[in-house]
Amino acid sequence: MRKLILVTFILVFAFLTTGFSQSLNLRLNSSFYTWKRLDEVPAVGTSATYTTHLTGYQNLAFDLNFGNKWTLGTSVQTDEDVINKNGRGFSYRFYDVYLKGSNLFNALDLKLGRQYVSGGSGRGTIDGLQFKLKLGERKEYQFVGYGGYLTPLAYDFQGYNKKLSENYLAGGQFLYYGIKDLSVGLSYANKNRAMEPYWTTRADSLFNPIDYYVQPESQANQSAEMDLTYRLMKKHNMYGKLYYDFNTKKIYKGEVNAIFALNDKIKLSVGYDYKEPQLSVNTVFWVFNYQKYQEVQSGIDYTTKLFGTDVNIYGRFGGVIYDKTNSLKFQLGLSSSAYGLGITKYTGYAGESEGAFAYFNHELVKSLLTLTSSLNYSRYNLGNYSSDKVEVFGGALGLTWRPISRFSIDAQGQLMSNEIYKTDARFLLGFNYWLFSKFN
Amino acid sequence: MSLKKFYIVFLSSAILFVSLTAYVSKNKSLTNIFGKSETVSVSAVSNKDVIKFNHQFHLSKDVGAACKDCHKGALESSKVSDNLNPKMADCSSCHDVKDEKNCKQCHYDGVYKSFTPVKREILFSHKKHVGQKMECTQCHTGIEKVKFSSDAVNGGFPNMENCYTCHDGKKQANDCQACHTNLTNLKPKDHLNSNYLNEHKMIYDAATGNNLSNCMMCHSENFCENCHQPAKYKGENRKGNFYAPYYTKDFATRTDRAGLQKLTAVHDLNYQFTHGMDARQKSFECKTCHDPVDFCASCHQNGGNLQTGMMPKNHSLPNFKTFGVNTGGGLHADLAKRDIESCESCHSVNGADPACVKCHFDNDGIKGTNPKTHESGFMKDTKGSWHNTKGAVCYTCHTDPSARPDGIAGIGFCGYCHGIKK
Repeated sequence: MRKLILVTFILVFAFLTTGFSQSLNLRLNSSFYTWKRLDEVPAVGTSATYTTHLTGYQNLAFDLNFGNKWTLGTSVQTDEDVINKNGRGFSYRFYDVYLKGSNLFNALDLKLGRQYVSGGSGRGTIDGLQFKLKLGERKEYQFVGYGGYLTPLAYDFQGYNKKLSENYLAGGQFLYYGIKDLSVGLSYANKNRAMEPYWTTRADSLFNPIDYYVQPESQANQSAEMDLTYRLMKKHNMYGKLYYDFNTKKIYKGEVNAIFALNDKIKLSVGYDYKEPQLSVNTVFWVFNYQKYQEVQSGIDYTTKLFGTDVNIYGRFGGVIYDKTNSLKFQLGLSSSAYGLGITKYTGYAGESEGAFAYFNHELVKSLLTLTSSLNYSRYNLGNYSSDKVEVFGGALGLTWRPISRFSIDAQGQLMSNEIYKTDARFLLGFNYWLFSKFN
Repeated sequence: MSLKKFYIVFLSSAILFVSLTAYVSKNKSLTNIFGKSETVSVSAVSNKDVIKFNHQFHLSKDVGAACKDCHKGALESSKVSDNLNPKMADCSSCHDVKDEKNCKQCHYDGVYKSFTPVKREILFSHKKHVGQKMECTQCHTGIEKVKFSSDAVNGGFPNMENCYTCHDGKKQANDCQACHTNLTNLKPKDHLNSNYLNEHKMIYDAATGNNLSNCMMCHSENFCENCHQPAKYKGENRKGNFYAPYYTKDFATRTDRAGLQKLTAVHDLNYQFTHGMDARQKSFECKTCHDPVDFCASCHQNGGNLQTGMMPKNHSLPNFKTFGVNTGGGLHADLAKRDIESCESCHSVNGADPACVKCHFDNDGIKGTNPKTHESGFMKDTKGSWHNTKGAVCYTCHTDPSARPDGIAGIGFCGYCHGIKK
């Protein structure tokens, strides 16, 4: 598989570089993050032992464009703790490595290689092929198809030791936009992830321990989905979705949402979800006796101008109705691009909490230096089985310096306080560079 | 270098840098030093009350004026702060501006003000764009059909969709900072809605059938993956790297297109302590971004300690598990029925037994002697894969001698559904 990928890319690359004008869009980011960590809770009367960490992260993304049709794209990441080595060095994770053809024959998008797939009920990263066929006068009929080997969990090119028939994602989606203000989607996905076999210990019929080999079938999900989006009078949006599981032969999720614009400034939103757990067949969790639950949500948003900027003032409520109990969340706040603050309250099964947060961003020196800051606080417990509440606090203060548009440096100090650390100070330094260049 | 010294050096450097930059800025020599970008504040201006004018008339065939005849500096302008509005002298090539009897042809009574320029926070060079053989009306759409520019769509200025026809990342750059100088205020108005995370799926352009056309102006395909893909830091939250070094949410840097490659996240600092509430409250569907099979387990794995394993607190309660048939299982049974996805998110470990199997096993094939797992009649009428393959999940727990694809009817596992062969 690795050789096949390599040869394919060399051939395609050689072909594309010969006859098209080219442009390169590149982003490069290096970050360094440092902190101290407590490895063990010290016994009473003893001092704590800390280890120091300085992790370097390197991210690279580039799109090499050939004409207006073809793109070779990738995004890669690696990291290593330079003080306390993580033991595996800078291992590279390739999140994308693909060749993309856009609007070929004025009707087809094509993507070959490692890529993320999201088509209704299907979701995941594959090493494979995806296409989108756009037909009709206004391209109102769209067909998406995809299939490929599920990308190794480490995002490298090492883990191709499973059979394709046991480790794949394949599916398709049909989208229709032919009726004004309405969109309809129908999708199907079949996903199988091969599981590792293992030796373990079991009891025989007399309860004597025996070695036991488990060679599980691949975890399987096979589902269909239908969604509808409708915009009423150009301002009210409605959205509905249904999921069907072929393995359990039932609808396991349904949701409806609506947003009503009362006027230019006020929006009301409501939503209802019905859910059963979505579990892969061939996991033991699938065989247990479980219950369904429902969710309701509502909110109001009021948009206005404050200090010359658009500000949104909002209130939200969300509830989960479980069997014999429920969980509620309330939120009030204000948000803008540059600043925001809010309070949050949880009550019920999920836990009890009162929290507040604020953020503020400001250009200290126009086009050159930006201040970023945030604070958050919460007093909480994680359920009614722990009556005492714990306090957490987090604060961050940072600067972004951008001497030229394509280069910037971020520096950020972070301070946290929580149930483990009374004061936990951290520092982040990042260098960011992007480049767009045309070759001919 | 110790961490303390590291902090001191960086903080001192930062303070020094900020002071220096502020000083330089005060002396207004900043743009001379860096010479690349400029920023002016935004203000919407109409010159309707300053002059009588009609673009449509001047650009008509009868008059035959060209844009450059009045906006004389436009072709050579390289900065957005250049005032490209015509001066009275620019009108003199056609109008007798010294004829005091005809002032009212253009001026209102007693109004002899200069035009107020529209200010933008972008980098823009007319010279560069005209050099690409572009027509003025390609960007200033509809200006030839109105009296005043303010009557045209978007005040006669191009909206971003217009820019995107060329600045698509292929023909020309479309990174935010390629054009914008202030990245703290780029968030569109609708993104401020508290429910936007939920709303964004409803946004589409029915006319083109492309629900991503506007999104792609600011966000690349990678941006969607940031959420709609199992977390990119999967498996990296190990002991030596427990805390993710993310910026907190809503920072200006997140609007930065290049910021996609920065270490960013949607969660607040300390979220690792409070996320249990969101997980149970379903405020966010964790599964949208994180693959529960391996992401959660990387911290919540079996045997994890206080610092790295973060076992949920309820697991330590005395009644969390009760042993013995017909004890009901204790608290964990209630929690599992209510929210089994949470159990799966930690206990489904690839290549190892799930924790449940420690108790939920059936070694003797005798009904009622083991902890209750299934509903009554579970899969009774189904010819499932356990008939054909040893890999069926049933055989993870059912280990009696007959628990196999070619097991004996009437005995043990097979006997639960099939009677003794006659």
